[in-house]
This record gives sequence, structure tokens and C-alpha cells, in this order.
Amino acid sequence: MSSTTLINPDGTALSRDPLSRDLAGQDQFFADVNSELSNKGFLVTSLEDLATWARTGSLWWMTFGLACCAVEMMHASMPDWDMERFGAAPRASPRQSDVMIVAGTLCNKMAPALRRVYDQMPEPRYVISMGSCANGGGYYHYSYSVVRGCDRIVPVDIYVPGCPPTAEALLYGIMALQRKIRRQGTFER
Amino acid sequence: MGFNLFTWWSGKTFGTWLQTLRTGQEVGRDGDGNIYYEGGGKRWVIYATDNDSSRVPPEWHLWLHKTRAEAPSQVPLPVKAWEKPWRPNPTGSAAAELPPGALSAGKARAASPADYNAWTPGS
Repeated sequence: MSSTTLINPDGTALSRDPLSRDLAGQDQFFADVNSELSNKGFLVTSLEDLATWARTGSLWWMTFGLACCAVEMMHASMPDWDMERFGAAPRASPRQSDVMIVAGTLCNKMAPALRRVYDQMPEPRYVISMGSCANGGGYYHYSYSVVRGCDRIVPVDIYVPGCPPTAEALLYGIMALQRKIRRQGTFER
Repeated sequence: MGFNLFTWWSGKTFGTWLQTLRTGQEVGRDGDGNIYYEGGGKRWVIYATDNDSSRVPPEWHLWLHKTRAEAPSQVPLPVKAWEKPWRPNPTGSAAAELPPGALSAGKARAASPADYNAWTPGS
């Protein structure tokens, strides 16, 4: 990996490489937290670690169902996969949601609405791009009316591949986002 | 055997712990130490490290999703000469695969035949 400094959207340098992770311990810190919780029953932690725990444990998602991917998004919150056991609950209002799941083809006409909904979400906010259409246009990449990937409109944290991805894959994406939040573990984004 | 009451990203939660205690029969373990259980018509895994489903190797994935009746610990799958060892998803680790144009890889992309100069009216 190169030593290029990563920058935040506001131009300041990111304090740590978001891709760095201790491989040997598989997030040794959280293993320690686990053992501390199960052995002592109470926890001495920093505010940031507590915030990270709370953030990953209550990822309320803004539904942005645009096409057939939305059906799989519904499946993921139904009892068979049950996203809510990981704290990811559907929330219809962008003002109260943490993560936006862009599920389906984003067409040019919908793009301003998507951006407006994203702008209405409070920080920290995350975006999961679901399906090949949202990832990069997919089947409609050469269409005259389709945005070639929702990352042209909003910054995307997790890309879930598939056409459409299974509900299992979306659930994996949500857990991947939780891992990413835990990895970054910082108030600045 | 303990369970995690407040965390869910490694080990087992209370529900999994209870189900394993009540109905779980251990079927086998894979190379990483993940333990596979069966019971009550269900099959499940308890991970040795963090709960990442890409840590399940393909032969156990077959069994876990009921594509095969027998576990690879009971009836091993034939190993082909071209098979490579399974490795889990490296995303987020130092071993993550990055395309040449990625931010973390120096942002420099090789020139492509698809590159073009946009036409400006009047030029």
C-alpha cells in the first residue's frame, strides 16, 4: 500500500488510514471489550469507543428503493434475515436515519431527489450502494437517462454487487459497513 | 461457554448460545477453527474470530446452505489439482485488493484507449 495521505472532503488530512486494520487480532480491541463485558459485567471505555458501539448498533436506514433491488432490501428486513437483529431498522425520514441504501437504478430525473434526501440526513451519514445499477449503471450504463453509478451523486461507503444482490448479500454489506465504522472509529469522517 | 450480551460481531449472541445448548450437535470444524452445528432442522456456524460469513470455506458453505447432505468432515469433497486455498474477504485489511486508480493506491490510472478529449463547441 502506498503512503499517500488521504484527505477528508473538507481538505484536511485523515488522521489514520481507513484501510488499516490489525490482522492478527481481528480487531483486538473489540475482543478485549467483549471479554471485559463478559467477565466483569461493566465497561470502562472512552467516549469514542462507546459512540462507535452505539453507531454500529443502530444503523437506521433510509429506504431509497428505486427498482427490483428494493424487493431484496425488503427481504433483508423480513424475518428470514431480519436486519433488525443488527440494529438496522427502516426509517422513512431522512432526518432520523444514519445510512441510505440506494437500491436500484438511479435515473437522471431521480438524481436531484437522491441528493436532496442525502443532504437532509444528519452526520454521521453513510451510503450503501446496492446492485450493479447503483454501483455503476449496470445494465443501463449506456442509457440516455440513467446516472452511471450513484457515487456520481453521493459519496458511497459500501458497494454491494449483484443484479439484484441477494438479501444475504445486503446483510453482508451492512455488516461490512459496521466493520468499516468500527475500523475508522473516529468522530471525523 | 459464554455469550455476548451487548456485542454481536464475534462469538455468539444469547439466542445462538441458547439454540446451540438446546439442539446443537457439533458436525465438524474447518481449518480456521469455526465450529459447525446441526439440530432442529437447522445448520449454523459459530465463528472462531469475528462474525464474517466470508470466513466459511466453500465446502462448508455447500453444507451450510443444504446443497450437500453430508458435511465435509463426514464425506470429504474431491480436491482438484487446480484448486486454490480459500481466503476470506480482505476488504479493510492491508491485503485489500485495490485497482490502480484507487485513492489508496496513489490515484494514478494507466492510460486507456477509452480516454478521450471532450469536444468543446466552437473549437
